[in-house]
Amino acid sequence: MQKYEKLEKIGEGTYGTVFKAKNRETQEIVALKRVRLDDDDEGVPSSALREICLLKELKHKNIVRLHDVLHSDKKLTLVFEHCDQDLKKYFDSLNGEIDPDIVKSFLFQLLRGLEFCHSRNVLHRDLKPQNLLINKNGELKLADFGLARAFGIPVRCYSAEVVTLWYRPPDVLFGAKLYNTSIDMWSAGCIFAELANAGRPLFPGSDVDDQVKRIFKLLGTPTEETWPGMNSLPDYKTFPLYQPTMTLAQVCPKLSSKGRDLLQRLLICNPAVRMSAEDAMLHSYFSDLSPSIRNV
Amino acid sequence: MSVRSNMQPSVIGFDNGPRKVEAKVLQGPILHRPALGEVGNRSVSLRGLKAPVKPVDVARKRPVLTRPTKPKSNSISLCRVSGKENVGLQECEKVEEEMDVEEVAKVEELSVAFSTQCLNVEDIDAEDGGNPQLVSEYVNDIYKYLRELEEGSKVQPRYLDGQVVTGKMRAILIDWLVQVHLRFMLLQETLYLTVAIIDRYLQRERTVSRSKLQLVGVTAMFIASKYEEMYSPDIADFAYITDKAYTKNEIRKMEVNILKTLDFNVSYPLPLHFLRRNSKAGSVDAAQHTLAKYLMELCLPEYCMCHYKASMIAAAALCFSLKVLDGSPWNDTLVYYSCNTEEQLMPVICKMAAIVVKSISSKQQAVKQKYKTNKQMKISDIPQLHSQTVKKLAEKGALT
Repeated sequence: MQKYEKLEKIGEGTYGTVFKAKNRETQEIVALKRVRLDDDDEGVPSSALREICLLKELKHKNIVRLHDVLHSDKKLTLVFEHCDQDLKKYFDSLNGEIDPDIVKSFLFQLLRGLEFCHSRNVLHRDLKPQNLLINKNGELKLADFGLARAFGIPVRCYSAEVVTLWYRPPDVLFGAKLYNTSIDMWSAGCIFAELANAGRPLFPGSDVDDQVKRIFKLLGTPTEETWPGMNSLPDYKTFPLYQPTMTLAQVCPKLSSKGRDLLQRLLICNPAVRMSAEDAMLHSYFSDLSPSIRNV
Repeated sequence: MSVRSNMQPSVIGFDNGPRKVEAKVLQGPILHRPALGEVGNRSVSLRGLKAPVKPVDVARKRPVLTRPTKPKSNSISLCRVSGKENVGLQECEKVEEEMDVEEVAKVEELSVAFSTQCLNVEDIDAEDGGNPQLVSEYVNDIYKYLRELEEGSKVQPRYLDGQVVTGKMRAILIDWLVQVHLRFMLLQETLYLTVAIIDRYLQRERTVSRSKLQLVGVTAMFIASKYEEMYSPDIADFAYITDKAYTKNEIRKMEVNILKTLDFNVSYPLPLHFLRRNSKAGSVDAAQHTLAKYLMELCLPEYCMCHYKASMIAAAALCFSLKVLDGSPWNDTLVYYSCNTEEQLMPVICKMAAIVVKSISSKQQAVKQKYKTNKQMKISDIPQLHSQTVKKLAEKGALT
């Protein structure tokens, strides 16, 4: 890769290694994601194929920009804009304290990026702090579209093997293969709570059962009334009828009442009632959002 | 018969291309091959909703189909695509067997205000609020976006002029791919995307030789599968289906070649996307919808249709279907949601009629055969396709 000088390894994506690199001509810092094309395999991995095709279409300030795709004999190299760190690493640097305005700003930017994806029929399907990149200017960008895909209307059956466990909505935990934009909204809710708690995950389950249990213990076990159709999901299992013992005020003590109201609307087990990104951006929690963030 | 005799020289000339392999698809040992068997089985179990497990003979339940005209009141509500029926996906297995899952469209509230108050336009999403189905409040944004996208990815008329590859070779290739697609049990989207990729690639890469055309076709389907399918067939299956005319390595190389040539833009809007919206807007029944699907697919191998926008093909197919089945009008709601008036669609409709007439004697029979099955309501066999209405329309549609 003559054009770029490799600086350091940043991490591993869904497929392939990510390096920080410098454009030798412009000195611009970029992130390179390498996809190996071996002689004895299936060609371009479908996750890479989708990520490239989708990111070609998704040009937005809250979505990581794919500058270029380079091809050499045995590999593809995706050239991304470089961001300083991901949200997970940012959390690690916080020591348990976070400015409520930053929480608000990051959530708003997350929702704005999602709204853009959703209105262009793209589901991200793997939202988590590691896949949200932030830079020095306090900008947040959705990244790693390796699990993303375009959806038709109505959305048809997709894989239930999506979204990292902690950020996976109850309907997908129960094996739902028919999901829509609401799949990303649950993850956004989990990330909101994690932001508000300066990086403490909301539902750090150890397996699918434990994950569901943690969710129901906080929110109360849904019933056929609150969530029609739940019982007929492929992997549905009966859970005890937990009554919420903790309130969101206890779980996210630093979050304002408006923030808790928004969180409540994102963390709704029934996907049909879960709030959309578009509506969430209009929530009163954001009424005092700094115009510099809103109008970027 | 002139059509047939016109085609022959080229068909013969193309002997070492897809023709040879066609036989393989139709009768080859493919059914006994474990790898392919797995592809099939996986599709059935994992994509259960779409699998043709129990084909239902809708034509039998819908005697209307065998009659030349259909009284409006006779339509069977079970089969309706309309949002009004609120046919949910899970609870209505029957409907799923009769039509594609996706077609039972349910879309949430329409947020745009109609500026076209003078038109008698129905808000087709108004009664769908709160339906959990796969559909979002983003529906109008998305269709607006799809219309923008199709403006940016057009195929030019007669784009093969000056190339070795001809329209007839293209027809043979796509006819073969329709069979491969059926055998691999792939999604409808995958077939349309395959053809879209082929046309955009051939339009840019103008030096494809006759012997490489099939490689382009099979690789386009390989790419489309990766993009659309939950489980794409293995590269070995694609190599095998060409009767080993190409190696896996050749397919891998062509894959990168196609993707680079297209600059990785393969998110094309497909006729199917628009048909679903239109079928909902028209509250059409299963037969009307299936006939429209048949017409759209019949257009796929036709070189003279490849430059029409997906939205135009979708609207023309449905308008044609309504006209031929029972003379239903292309009403204001359909005009609004399809963004096309009947007048605008007429040239395309006439060409479709000519294609239907031609299909009786055409060499390319894959689509017609496919739509003779129960699952497709035997729609390619209905007598209405031989009616005077179709013949009259066909006279006005020159296939050039």
